[in-house]
Amino acid sequence: MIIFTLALLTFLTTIALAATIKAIAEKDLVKAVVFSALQSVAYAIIYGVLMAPDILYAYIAVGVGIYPVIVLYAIAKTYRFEGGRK
Amino acid sequence: MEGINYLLATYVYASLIVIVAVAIYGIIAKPNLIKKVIALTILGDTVNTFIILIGYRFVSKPKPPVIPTLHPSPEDIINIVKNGVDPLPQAFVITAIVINLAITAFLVMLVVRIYRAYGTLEMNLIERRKGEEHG
Amino acid sequence: MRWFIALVIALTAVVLVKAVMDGCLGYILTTDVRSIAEFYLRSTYNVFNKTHWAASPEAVNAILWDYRGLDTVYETTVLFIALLGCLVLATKLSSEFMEVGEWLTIIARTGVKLIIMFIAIIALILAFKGYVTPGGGFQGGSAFAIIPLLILAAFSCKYLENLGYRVNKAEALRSLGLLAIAAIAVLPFIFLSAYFLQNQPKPWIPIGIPHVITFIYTGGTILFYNLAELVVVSMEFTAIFIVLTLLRGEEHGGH
Repeated sequence: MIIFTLALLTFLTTIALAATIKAIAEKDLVKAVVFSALQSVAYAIIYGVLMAPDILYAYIAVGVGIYPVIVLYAIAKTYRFEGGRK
Repeated sequence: MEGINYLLATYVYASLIVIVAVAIYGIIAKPNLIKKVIALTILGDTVNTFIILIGYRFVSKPKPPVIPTLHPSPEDIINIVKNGVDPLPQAFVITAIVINLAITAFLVMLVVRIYRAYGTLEMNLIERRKGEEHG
Repeated sequence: MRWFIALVIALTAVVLVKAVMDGCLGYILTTDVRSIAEFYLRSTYNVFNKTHWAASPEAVNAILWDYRGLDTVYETTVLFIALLGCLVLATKLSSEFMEVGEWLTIIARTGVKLIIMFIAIIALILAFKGYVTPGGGFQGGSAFAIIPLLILAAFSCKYLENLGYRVNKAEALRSLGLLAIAAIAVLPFIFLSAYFLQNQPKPWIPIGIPHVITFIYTGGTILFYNLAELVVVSMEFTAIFIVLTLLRGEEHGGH
């Protein structure tokens, strides 16, 4: 029984690792925000597997709804591609 | 512990620590300010997940720390005490999520003001323009 | 230079993994739990031994508002000061966004109207039943704050202004919620000489809110704390979204 929990955790952390490596190495900032939101979804499922429902409700609303919106506001008021204006 | 359980647990802990390392590299080595803000949020969320993983209990049927009825019998309470997951790290993590959110909102306001004052968001260009201003 | 930084971080990560698997942060793959967690799980809704109980079947909310209530008070203070800093930095708000009235297509608008009703119901359920099922004040508040965000995206900011959302109204409601939390926490301490944030009667200070009021099971003071926290958090995020929409970004001062 423990091995099913551990297998699910390895699958989800692999998704999170791939998403964060692509988020840091990406030059288009909007795509970086979308990859960061994908990593937040993987973390929310991890909180569900680890039997923590309070944190799941708090983290879904914050990590997928509020963080990307605030950073997208910042990108809209400045510029979109890294190394853009000189 | 069996060999395969230990191997999978090592992989889970190692991948979380590698995510922390990648986020710290992103804060130090990327010059764009918005990329630094994104990497900071990734770092904070990964540390929260690590804390919850430490508080988990690997019994065969774990339960969340909630007593399921409003009129419990003694067997219900003993069942939760023997199978329930640790509730104290979860309370800490909720506080940490709120504080990280407040700090990120404040940082975004600062980033927009810096762009209005210097015209760019790359750290090396900001240092050069600040040196020309004072020099 | 970048290769040197990457090498140092990689070496630190390898050493950390070895240290964690040898038990520097606690035992790996255990079946026991720490003794303080056992105390919290045993005594949070123990109707047979009411010495240390907190009248709420949910252990996490009892820890947040009764056993370690001072942590939550200081966290609310940090949120308050951060929002104060945000409002100080936003001095030059442009009013040009207020006159632009672009609406999205009618499919998007109808979808947003339907979703808003469901989000309001879910947020209120999470806040009202926070002491019986998983949920609570902060969860309900941050779900309720998605509603003005969706209205800002599908309709324009001028529509939000016509509905009555202003920054100073949101600030006033938030201050009322904070005042409610402070009143329930501090007034028994001043007038009745009880403990700060007291929830249930303790053996040597027998003052507390009853945990059943006719047919409503309140969790002591936890129901009222959750409702006040819903108002505080949702109004705070509404103010941040309106201020971020009106912030002007595109002007270099002096270059």
